Amino acid sequence: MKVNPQTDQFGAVPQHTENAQPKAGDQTFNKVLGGAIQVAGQLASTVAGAQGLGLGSLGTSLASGLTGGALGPGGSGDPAFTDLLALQNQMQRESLVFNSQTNISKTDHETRMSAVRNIKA
Amino acid sequence: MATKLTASVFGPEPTATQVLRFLAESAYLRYYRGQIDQAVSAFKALILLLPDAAVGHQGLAEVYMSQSKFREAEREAELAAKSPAADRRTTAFAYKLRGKALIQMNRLKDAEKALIRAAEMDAGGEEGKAAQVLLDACRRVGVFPTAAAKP
Repeated sequence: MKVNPQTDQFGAVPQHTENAQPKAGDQTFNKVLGGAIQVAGQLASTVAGAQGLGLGSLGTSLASGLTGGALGPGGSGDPAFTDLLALQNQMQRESLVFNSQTNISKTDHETRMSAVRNIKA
Repeated sequence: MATKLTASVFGPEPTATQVLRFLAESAYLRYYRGQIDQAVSAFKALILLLPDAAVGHQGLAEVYMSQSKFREAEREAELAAKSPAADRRTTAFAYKLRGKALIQMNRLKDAEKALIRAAEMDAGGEEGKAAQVLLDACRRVGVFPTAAAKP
Protein backbone atom coordinates (compact mmCIF):
# COMPACT_ATOMS: atom_id res chain seq x y z
CA MET A 1 0.00 0.00 0.00
CA LYS A 2 1.33 3.35 -1.05
CA VAL A 3 0.96 6.40 1.20
CA ASN A 4 0.98 9.86 -0.29
CA PRO A 5 1.19 12.49 2.43
CA GLN A 6 -0.95 15.50 1.65
CA THR A 7 0.41 17.84 4.32
CA ASP A 8 3.74 18.43 5.94
CA GLN A 9 2.46 18.02 9.52
CA PHE A 10 4.64 14.93 9.97
CA GLY A 11 7.70 16.80 8.90
CA ALA A 12 10.91 17.02 10.90
CA VAL A 13 10.60 18.34 14.42
CA PRO A 14 12.23 21.76 14.59
CA GLN A 15 15.37 22.00 16.67
CA HIS A 16 14.96 23.51 20.10
CA THR A 17 16.37 26.95 20.57
CA GLU A 18 18.75 28.08 23.23
CA ASN A 19 17.23 29.39 26.43
CA ALA A 20 17.25 33.12 26.74
CA GLN A 21 19.66 34.44 29.33
CA PRO A 22 17.78 35.72 32.39
CA LYS A 23 18.02 39.35 33.31
CA ALA A 24 19.45 40.54 36.63
CA GLY A 25 16.00 41.51 37.98
CA ASP A 26 14.59 38.07 37.12
CA GLN A 27 17.40 36.35 39.04
CA THR A 28 16.59 38.33 42.20
CA PHE A 29 12.92 37.50 41.88
CA ASN A 30 13.72 33.80 41.36
CA LYS A 31 15.88 33.79 44.50
CA VAL A 32 13.08 35.29 46.60
CA LEU A 33 10.46 32.93 45.17
CA GLY A 34 12.74 29.93 45.63
CA GLY A 35 13.36 30.86 49.26
CA ALA A 36 9.65 31.19 49.96
CA ILE A 37 8.93 27.82 48.35
CA GLN A 38 11.74 26.20 50.33
CA VAL A 39 10.41 27.58 53.64
CA ALA A 40 6.89 26.43 52.79
CA GLY A 41 8.16 22.97 51.84
CA GLN A 42 10.10 22.64 55.10
CA LEU A 43 7.03 23.70 57.09
CA ALA A 44 4.81 21.21 55.27
CA SER A 45 7.27 18.34 55.73
CA THR A 46 7.80 19.18 59.42
CA VAL A 47 4.07 19.21 60.15
CA ALA A 48 3.41 16.16 57.99
CA GLY A 49 6.17 14.25 59.77
CA ALA A 50 4.82 15.17 63.18
CA GLN A 51 1.32 14.11 62.14
CA GLY A 52 2.65 10.79 60.85
CA LEU A 53 4.31 10.07 64.17
CA GLY A 54 1.11 10.73 66.03
CA LEU A 55 2.20 14.18 67.17
CA GLY A 56 -0.74 16.06 65.71
CA SER A 57 -0.91 18.68 68.45
CA LEU A 58 2.84 19.25 68.30
CA GLY A 59 2.60 19.71 64.54
CA THR A 60 -0.23 22.19 64.97
CA SER A 61 1.70 24.18 67.58
CA LEU A 62 4.77 24.16 65.33
CA ALA A 63 2.67 25.39 62.45
CA SER A 64 1.08 28.11 64.52
CA GLY A 65 4.46 29.15 65.88
CA LEU A 66 5.95 29.36 62.44
CA THR A 67 2.93 31.20 61.16
CA GLY A 68 3.26 33.77 63.89
CA GLY A 69 6.94 34.19 63.12
CA ALA A 70 6.48 34.48 59.40
CA LEU A 71 3.48 36.71 59.39
CA GLY A 72 4.44 38.90 62.29
CA PRO A 73 2.16 40.35 64.92
CA GLY A 74 0.13 42.21 62.34
CA GLY A 75 -0.81 38.99 60.61
CA SER A 76 -0.18 40.41 57.14
CA GLY A 77 2.09 37.93 55.36
CA ASP A 78 2.69 36.58 51.92
CA PRO A 79 -0.73 35.72 50.44
CA ALA A 80 0.67 32.54 48.87
CA PHE A 81 2.02 31.42 52.25
CA THR A 82 -1.33 32.12 53.91
CA ASP A 83 -3.11 30.19 51.17
CA LEU A 84 -0.76 27.29 51.73
CA LEU A 85 -1.50 27.23 55.45
CA ALA A 86 -5.24 27.45 54.79
CA LEU A 87 -4.94 24.53 52.39
CA GLN A 88 -2.99 22.58 54.97
CA ASN A 89 -5.66 23.24 57.62
CA GLN A 90 -8.35 22.15 55.20
CA MET A 91 -6.45 18.94 54.48
CA GLN A 92 -6.10 18.23 58.19
CA ARG A 93 -9.84 18.74 58.71
CA GLU A 94 -10.68 16.48 55.78
CA SER A 95 -8.26 13.87 57.09
CA LEU A 96 -9.94 14.02 60.50
CA VAL A 97 -13.40 13.60 58.96
CA PHE A 98 -12.18 10.73 56.77
CA ASN A 99 -10.60 8.94 59.74
CA SER A 100 -13.77 9.33 61.79
CA GLN A 101 -15.91 7.94 58.97
CA THR A 102 -13.64 4.96 58.39
CA ASN A 103 -13.57 4.20 62.12
CA ILE A 104 -17.38 4.25 62.25
CA SER A 105 -17.60 2.03 59.16
CA LYS A 106 -15.07 -0.40 60.64
CA THR A 107 -16.98 -0.66 63.93
CA ASP A 108 -20.28 -1.19 62.12
CA HIS A 109 -18.77 -3.88 59.89
CA GLU A 110 -17.27 -5.69 62.88
CA THR A 111 -20.68 -5.67 64.58
CA ARG A 112 -22.32 -7.12 61.45
CA MET A 113 -19.69 -9.82 61.22
CA SER A 114 -20.09 -10.66 64.90
CA ALA A 115 -23.81 -11.21 64.20
CA VAL A 116 -22.84 -13.45 61.29
CA ARG A 117 -20.42 -15.43 63.46
CA ASN A 118 -23.21 -15.96 65.99
CA ILE A 119 -25.24 -17.91 63.44
CA LYS A 120 -25.69 -21.50 64.54
CA ALA A 121 -27.90 -23.93 62.66
CA MET B 1 -19.78 -27.19 38.65
CA ALA B 2 -21.86 -26.26 41.68
CA THR B 3 -20.40 -29.20 43.55
CA LYS B 4 -16.87 -28.06 42.74
CA LEU B 5 -17.70 -24.51 43.82
CA THR B 6 -19.22 -25.53 47.14
CA ALA B 7 -16.36 -27.93 47.73
CA SER B 8 -13.83 -25.17 47.09
CA VAL B 9 -15.64 -22.78 49.47
CA PHE B 10 -16.75 -25.10 52.26
CA GLY B 11 -14.68 -28.24 51.87
CA PRO B 12 -15.97 -31.72 51.04
CA GLU B 13 -18.77 -31.82 53.63
CA PRO B 14 -20.21 -28.36 54.35
CA THR B 15 -22.21 -27.88 57.51
CA ALA B 16 -25.50 -25.99 57.65
CA THR B 17 -23.87 -23.32 59.82
CA GLN B 18 -21.18 -22.69 57.20
CA VAL B 19 -23.75 -22.34 54.43
CA LEU B 20 -25.91 -19.96 56.49
CA ARG B 21 -22.93 -17.80 57.41
CA PHE B 22 -21.94 -17.71 53.75
CA LEU B 23 -25.46 -16.59 52.85
CA ALA B 24 -25.33 -13.83 55.48
CA GLU B 25 -21.93 -12.59 54.33
CA SER B 26 -23.05 -12.63 50.70
CA ALA B 27 -26.15 -10.64 51.66
CA TYR B 28 -23.99 -7.98 53.29
CA LEU B 29 -21.60 -8.02 50.34
CA ARG B 30 -24.50 -7.31 48.00
CA TYR B 31 -25.65 -4.52 50.30
CA TYR B 32 -22.16 -2.99 50.31
CA ARG B 33 -22.04 -3.19 46.51
CA GLY B 34 -25.42 -1.46 46.14
CA GLN B 35 -27.21 -4.59 44.87
CA ILE B 36 -30.16 -3.82 47.10
CA ASP B 37 -32.75 -6.19 45.60
CA GLN B 38 -30.46 -9.21 45.88
CA ALA B 39 -29.48 -8.17 49.41
CA VAL B 40 -33.14 -7.93 50.46
CA SER B 41 -33.83 -11.40 49.00
CA ALA B 42 -30.87 -12.90 50.85
CA PHE B 43 -31.82 -11.27 54.17
CA LYS B 44 -35.44 -12.44 53.79
CA ALA B 45 -34.15 -15.97 53.10
CA LEU B 46 -32.07 -15.74 56.28
CA ILE B 47 -35.16 -14.73 58.27
CA LEU B 48 -37.04 -17.75 56.91
CA LEU B 49 -34.15 -20.12 57.63
CA LEU B 50 -33.18 -18.61 61.00
CA PRO B 51 -36.23 -16.92 62.56
CA ASP B 52 -34.53 -16.57 65.96
CA ALA B 53 -31.32 -14.97 64.64
CA ALA B 54 -30.90 -11.21 64.55
CA VAL B 55 -28.80 -11.00 61.41
CA GLY B 56 -31.65 -11.14 58.87
CA HIS B 57 -33.77 -8.49 60.58
CA GLN B 58 -30.72 -6.33 61.25
CA GLY B 59 -29.62 -6.49 57.63
CA LEU B 60 -33.10 -5.68 56.39
CA ALA B 61 -33.28 -2.73 58.78
CA GLU B 62 -30.03 -1.36 57.41
CA VAL B 63 -31.18 -1.80 53.82
CA TYR B 64 -34.47 -0.03 54.55
CA MET B 65 -32.61 2.80 56.28
CA SER B 66 -30.47 3.27 53.19
CA GLN B 67 -33.67 3.48 51.13
CA SER B 68 -35.25 6.00 53.55
CA LYS B 69 -37.99 3.46 54.45
CA PHE B 70 -37.85 4.41 58.11
CA ARG B 71 -41.09 2.76 59.22
CA GLU B 72 -39.96 -0.62 57.87
CA ALA B 73 -36.45 -0.07 59.19
CA GLU B 74 -37.77 0.64 62.68
CA ARG B 75 -39.92 -2.50 62.65
CA GLU B 76 -37.05 -4.74 61.51
CA ALA B 77 -34.63 -3.16 63.99
CA GLU B 78 -37.08 -3.84 66.80
CA LEU B 79 -37.38 -7.47 65.72
CA ALA B 80 -33.59 -7.72 65.62
CA ALA B 81 -33.28 -6.17 69.09
CA LYS B 82 -35.81 -8.63 70.54
CA SER B 83 -34.29 -11.64 68.85
CA PRO B 84 -33.51 -14.29 71.51
CA ALA B 85 -30.25 -15.47 69.94
CA ALA B 86 -28.57 -12.07 69.67
CA ASP B 87 -25.54 -11.12 71.72
CA ARG B 88 -25.17 -7.79 73.55
CA ARG B 89 -23.27 -6.04 70.78
CA THR B 90 -25.80 -7.03 68.11
CA THR B 91 -28.71 -6.03 70.33
CA ALA B 92 -27.12 -2.65 71.03
CA PHE B 93 -26.55 -2.15 67.32
CA ALA B 94 -30.21 -2.98 66.63
CA TYR B 95 -31.39 -0.50 69.27
CA LYS B 96 -29.08 2.14 67.80
CA LEU B 97 -30.54 1.50 64.34
CA ARG B 98 -34.04 1.75 65.77
CA GLY B 99 -33.12 5.05 67.42
CA LYS B 100 -31.84 6.44 64.13
CA ALA B 101 -35.02 5.37 62.33
CA LEU B 102 -37.18 6.92 65.07
CA ILE B 103 -35.30 10.21 64.82
CA GLN B 104 -36.09 10.27 61.11
CA MET B 105 -39.74 9.57 61.93
CA ASN B 106 -39.70 12.50 64.39
CA ARG B 107 -40.56 10.21 67.33
CA LEU B 108 -37.88 11.81 69.43
CA LYS B 109 -38.79 10.49 72.89
CA ASP B 110 -38.82 6.91 71.63
CA ALA B 111 -35.58 7.55 69.77
CA GLU B 112 -33.89 8.80 72.92
CA LYS B 113 -35.13 5.76 74.84
CA ALA B 114 -33.80 3.43 72.14
CA LEU B 115 -30.38 5.08 72.17
CA ILE B 116 -30.23 4.99 75.98
CA ARG B 117 -31.14 1.31 75.83
CA ALA B 118 -28.40 0.71 73.27
CA ALA B 119 -25.83 2.48 75.45
CA GLU B 120 -26.90 0.49 78.51
CA MET B 121 -27.07 -2.81 76.67
CA ASP B 122 -23.41 -2.79 75.66
CA ALA B 123 -21.94 -0.44 78.28
CA GLY B 124 -18.18 -0.45 77.84
CA GLY B 125 -18.42 -2.21 74.49
CA GLU B 126 -17.91 -0.73 71.05
CA GLU B 127 -21.58 -0.39 70.16
CA GLY B 128 -22.53 0.93 73.58
CA LYS B 129 -19.88 3.63 73.29
CA ALA B 130 -21.02 4.48 69.76
CA ALA B 131 -24.63 4.75 70.93
CA GLN B 132 -23.54 6.98 73.84
CA VAL B 133 -21.61 9.26 71.48
CA LEU B 134 -24.65 9.50 69.20
CA LEU B 135 -26.91 10.20 72.16
CA ASP B 136 -24.60 12.94 73.47
CA ALA B 137 -24.32 14.50 70.02
CA CYS B 138 -28.11 14.52 69.60
CA ARG B 139 -28.52 16.14 73.02
CA ARG B 140 -25.83 18.72 72.28
CA VAL B 141 -27.45 19.87 69.07
CA GLY B 142 -30.92 19.84 70.62
CA VAL B 143 -32.51 16.94 68.77
CA PHE B 144 -34.22 15.69 71.92
CA PRO B 145 -36.47 18.40 73.39
CA THR B 146 -36.61 16.96 76.93
CA ALA B 147 -32.83 16.94 77.23
CA ALA B 148 -32.60 20.58 76.18
CA ALA B 149 -34.46 21.65 79.32
CA LYS B 150 -32.03 19.79 81.59
CA PRO B 151 -28.94 21.67 82.85
